[in-house]
Amino acid sequence: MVDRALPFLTGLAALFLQMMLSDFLTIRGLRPDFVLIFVVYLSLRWGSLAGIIAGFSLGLVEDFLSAGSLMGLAPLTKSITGFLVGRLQGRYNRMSPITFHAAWVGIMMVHFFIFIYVNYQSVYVTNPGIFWQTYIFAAVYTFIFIGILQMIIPLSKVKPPPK
Amino acid sequence: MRKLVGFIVDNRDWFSLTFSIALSLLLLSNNESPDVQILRGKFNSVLSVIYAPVNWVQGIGTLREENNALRAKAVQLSLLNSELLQYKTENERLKAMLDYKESVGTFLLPARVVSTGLSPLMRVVNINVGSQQDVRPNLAVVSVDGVVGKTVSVGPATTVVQLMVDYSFRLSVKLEKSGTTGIMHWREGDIFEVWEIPKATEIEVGERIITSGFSDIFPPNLAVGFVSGIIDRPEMMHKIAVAKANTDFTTLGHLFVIRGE
Repeated sequence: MVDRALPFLTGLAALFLQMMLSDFLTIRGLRPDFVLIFVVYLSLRWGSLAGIIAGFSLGLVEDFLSAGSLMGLAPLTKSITGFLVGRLQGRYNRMSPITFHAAWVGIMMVHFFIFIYVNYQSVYVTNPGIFWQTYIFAAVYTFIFIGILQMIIPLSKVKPPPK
Repeated sequence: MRKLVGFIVDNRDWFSLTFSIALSLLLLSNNESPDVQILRGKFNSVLSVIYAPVNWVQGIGTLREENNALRAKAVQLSLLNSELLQYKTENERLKAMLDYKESVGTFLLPARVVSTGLSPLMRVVNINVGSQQDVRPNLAVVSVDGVVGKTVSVGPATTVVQLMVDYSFRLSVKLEKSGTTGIMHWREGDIFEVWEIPKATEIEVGERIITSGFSDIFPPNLAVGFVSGIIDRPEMMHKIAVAKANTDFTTLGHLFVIRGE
């Protein structure tokens, strides 16, 4: 029961963290994406289906609470991320560590690319330099936080629940 | 039938993904729908309640600093005010001589930023006034320093303000000394650019930038920023003025919505 309630509570905590801390952590109009970090961890533990549900529902709440953003974009990118990261569930021992880490980093990079591209598509055409700069900065900023969390709970140690 | 259900259950990940993508795309295509806007307005009202304790704590932390800044500003403004009063008298006298009709006045509605949303990209803020205070989309929003943005989505008690640092925001501006107009938009960080300035125009670094008034949203002569650099290359048809805004978008607190009287 506790094990089932924990993801839900952690999801709420991630959302709460995003709400409370993102203002303080805004640099050049960009913020770390705590909800995405949660979706990555959750998908690795609970699999693709849980990742899609969490990504979609939290993304939807995020969009509703972020007036001005494109409604539906966060659920789209986060559910895709949840699905793809969920495919890595329990594969750490069967893959080389480099492939495993490259895979989730790559998936997150894809997430940021879709997110930034849709938001800054006009910039992509008029000023590609600024587009790539924004993309890299947005991704790196979130990677810093997932990197810190990795020191406490390494992604390689996130295992599926015992059956 | 059983086979079909079995197939769906076996491939539930793929079906869920397809369903969530389809639903997301449907939402994306209905982004401007009034129902979605109403729902967002309601969510933002809830968010402003959740944010209230955070704003309260932030308010206490910055109160002393803000108070000192406001005192200094008050002194500056009272000095400026006395100077402007002289101009006003002179202006009225000249207008009377020209038989000038008084233009429509403006009404400033004070508002407070209640949240900046959850999106990883910060381009809008929510303020604590809405349709109950007669706020509607496309009204200018300013701070004591200058232009901040415009209202885009209005709920009953909250309004979303698109900031000047949103890449899709464009503002018709005038360079105060030369009187040349141009289109100002955000470039990166705290840097803006004013485009469409004729090559022959002399621009000075430090020159004030104000709203041109060629807009239904922004009244003329609102302070916007100042010129911090000039880009003038031979292959370019126009000059570009690099600019900085007067407003610090990272510390937005108290704003004013400009409403026609």
